[in-house]
Amino acid sequence: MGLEPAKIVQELIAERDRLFSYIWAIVGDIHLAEDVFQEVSLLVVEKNPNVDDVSQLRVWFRRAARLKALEAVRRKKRGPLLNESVLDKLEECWSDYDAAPDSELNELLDMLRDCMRLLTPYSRRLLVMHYTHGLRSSEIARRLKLKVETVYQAIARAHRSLSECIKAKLAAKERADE
Amino acid sequence: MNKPPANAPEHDEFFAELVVRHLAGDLDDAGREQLNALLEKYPEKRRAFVEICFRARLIAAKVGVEFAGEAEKEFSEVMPDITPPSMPPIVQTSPQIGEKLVWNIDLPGEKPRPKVVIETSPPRPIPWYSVNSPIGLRLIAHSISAILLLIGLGIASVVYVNHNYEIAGQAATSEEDSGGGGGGGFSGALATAEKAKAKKEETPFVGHISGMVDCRWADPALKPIAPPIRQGTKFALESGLMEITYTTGAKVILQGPCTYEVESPSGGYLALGKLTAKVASGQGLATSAKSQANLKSAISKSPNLQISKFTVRTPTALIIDLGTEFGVEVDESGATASYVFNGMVKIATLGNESQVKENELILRASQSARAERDEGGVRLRLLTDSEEKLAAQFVRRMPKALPAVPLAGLALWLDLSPRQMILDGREVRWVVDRGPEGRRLYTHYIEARPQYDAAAFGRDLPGLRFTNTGKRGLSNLQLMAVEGEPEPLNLTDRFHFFAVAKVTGQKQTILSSNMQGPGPGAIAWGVGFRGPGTLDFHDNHNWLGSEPNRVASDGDTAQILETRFERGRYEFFVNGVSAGTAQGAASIEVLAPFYFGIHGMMGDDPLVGALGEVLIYRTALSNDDRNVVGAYLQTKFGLSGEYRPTDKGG
Repeated sequence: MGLEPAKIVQELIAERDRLFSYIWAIVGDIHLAEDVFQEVSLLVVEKNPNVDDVSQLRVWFRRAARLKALEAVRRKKRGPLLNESVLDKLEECWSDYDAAPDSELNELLDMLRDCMRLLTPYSRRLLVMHYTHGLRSSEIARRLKLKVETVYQAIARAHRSLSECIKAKLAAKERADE
Repeated sequence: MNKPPANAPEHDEFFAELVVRHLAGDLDDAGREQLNALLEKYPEKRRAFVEICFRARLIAAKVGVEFAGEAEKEFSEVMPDITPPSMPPIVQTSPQIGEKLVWNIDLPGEKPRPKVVIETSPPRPIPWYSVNSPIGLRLIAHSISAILLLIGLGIASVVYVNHNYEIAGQAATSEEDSGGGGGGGFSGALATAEKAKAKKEETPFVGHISGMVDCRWADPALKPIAPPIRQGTKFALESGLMEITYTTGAKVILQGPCTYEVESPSGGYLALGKLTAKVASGQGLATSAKSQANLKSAISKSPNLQISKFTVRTPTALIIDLGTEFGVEVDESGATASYVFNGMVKIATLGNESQVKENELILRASQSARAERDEGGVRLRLLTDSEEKLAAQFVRRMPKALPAVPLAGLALWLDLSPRQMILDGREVRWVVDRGPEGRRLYTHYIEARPQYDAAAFGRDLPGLRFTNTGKRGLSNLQLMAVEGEPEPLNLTDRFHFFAVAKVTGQKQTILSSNMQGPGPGAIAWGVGFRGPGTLDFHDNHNWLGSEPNRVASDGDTAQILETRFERGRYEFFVNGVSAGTAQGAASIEVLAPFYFGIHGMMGDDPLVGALGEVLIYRTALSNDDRNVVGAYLQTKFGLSGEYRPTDKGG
């Protein structure tokens, strides 16, 4: 007996952040990623995947997303941004996220929130402008009278700071759990 | 990008930059090769890659919005000359919904938004004023601060009145000049307050947005985030009208394109464009000519100084109300024209102090003057008759609000004019501004979207055009996806549909849903399935007809199609006129997704025509309520019909 359609849609929605970032990683364009996510969502409803449990369903989502993402890249008449072999190797990392329970992801979200607070206002602002407001780096550079390269470097630095902060928090949590 | 050695500490940042560029679609071939090579070779880079991608998504969709407002303030402190983006913009739906203001956040892409507030207490959303909302706590805190500040100002104003206006003006001027730390009495308090305010970066609420019509924003970062307006708020309208009502009662209509900053509780800075100000007499304090000159001097140096007379500052002039209604226009050179409709204003040039007396004029009704820069500074002259004709171009009244629709039970409202969609009382992003066409629609098939047509139903009456050249439809699935939980419409034993549509031919689907539930789940609503001109509904493939030949299918006639369902009984209406009844199952089970303009997922019976507006209620409306909706649609789209507006909501 497969999963109920309503359950499948619920899972799709619960998975959307992971799935979206997966698609985004393949297509390298947030707007195209939205389109692909939409296609995958519709495919899910159309095909009503015959799977027995949620873990199988997640695998199905991922496969559908990869297929649709690569199709979308082809439609844009672009070569794949990431090699097939790289995509294959990345699967393992993505599946780690799949396996993570929602509680862990929520913790991660809280940590990210905390770490964002620890960033300098400038770094935080750049991240918000770039990701939340969707401004292109060139637009941010224009507004801030910076070079585009400087903007990218600053965002990259902010990512690194966030990464280190989250790692520290994870380590502290592990120590506390022991 | 210069690649550092792989073991260098800065290599992580180099890699992160590659990923950031990759996600932004801004990676050149060399960068792509480098990225692939690193991902191929290093497992830790693959983990970092996934981590960055996922984190970017979380910032974009979840975390970033919480910092948007805070970052704005911090950023403006660091770089005051930069216009900081604001919180995710909230757009008022337009005056069509009258006094029941619904705030809709219109964001591009997969971005999170604060919840909207809707007047009728939606069940699930967190209102923007709630402590649980991303901005609510701050708003409440600010409101309390504003109340305390107002109490303080109230006490201070008594002192203020008793001490003569000049004292404040001069003191403020000297304070400004010296940059020092305030004297005694009111001026000292004023200075202290100014300083404290600067430190806390708290600015009081000085008014609210009281109306908007078709606003488009030249700078999305300057979209208003909520109806209350703080001192210092800037607006950059590309087009449309926005009315600001100050706490003093003064009203200003901004007419896009226009850039305006609310500088004080009694005025603002018009950098470009037009405004009309209406200030009732007695809303300001009388001032002497001398104090006015002092005031002008102070203002020219300290634009944030609060003054009591309503004053519009421009790059070249001050227009000071003397109890009146007037228009101000600033062109790109900074030249200022002022037209007086009623009462009197004083226009004074901003420039060399010695020119003050020579360069000010009192304008009375129907008089106008222009301040423009020339070699000797700013020159002021009366306008010629032909130039005065320009005064007719000022908008002096906001368009009359149309009746609000009942919000109770409103499950889905597709209103293309203000580009909003409301689902269960919450705004949902579904049409977002992006790209050269400015519209992006979530559709059934990516390659064939219904087209947004800004004049599908006439001037300023946009619609979605469906041309049947392929399988195309529009789904609300994406809406559910971004909102976090499935949003089944949960239509069961009662619902009410309205659509303003143009239809060509027969077998045209307005909307459908294929989701199977425990009971009959597939539904479709359309035209001409049972015969020419019928308005039909099927539940679980059981088509239910209505009287034929009611629906115009010439492709050019806009009409209101309406179906009311209550416990198995369907009633069909076209432009408010009954088009028959039918009996179906007592209850249906309709879950999302919903599709507009297409029958089912496979694209059967697509609509050839246009949709201008759709409302879906989870209840069967009373005749009074359906008359309100019908009258609203009729008025908006200029249609005739049998709807009889009631007082309700109007």
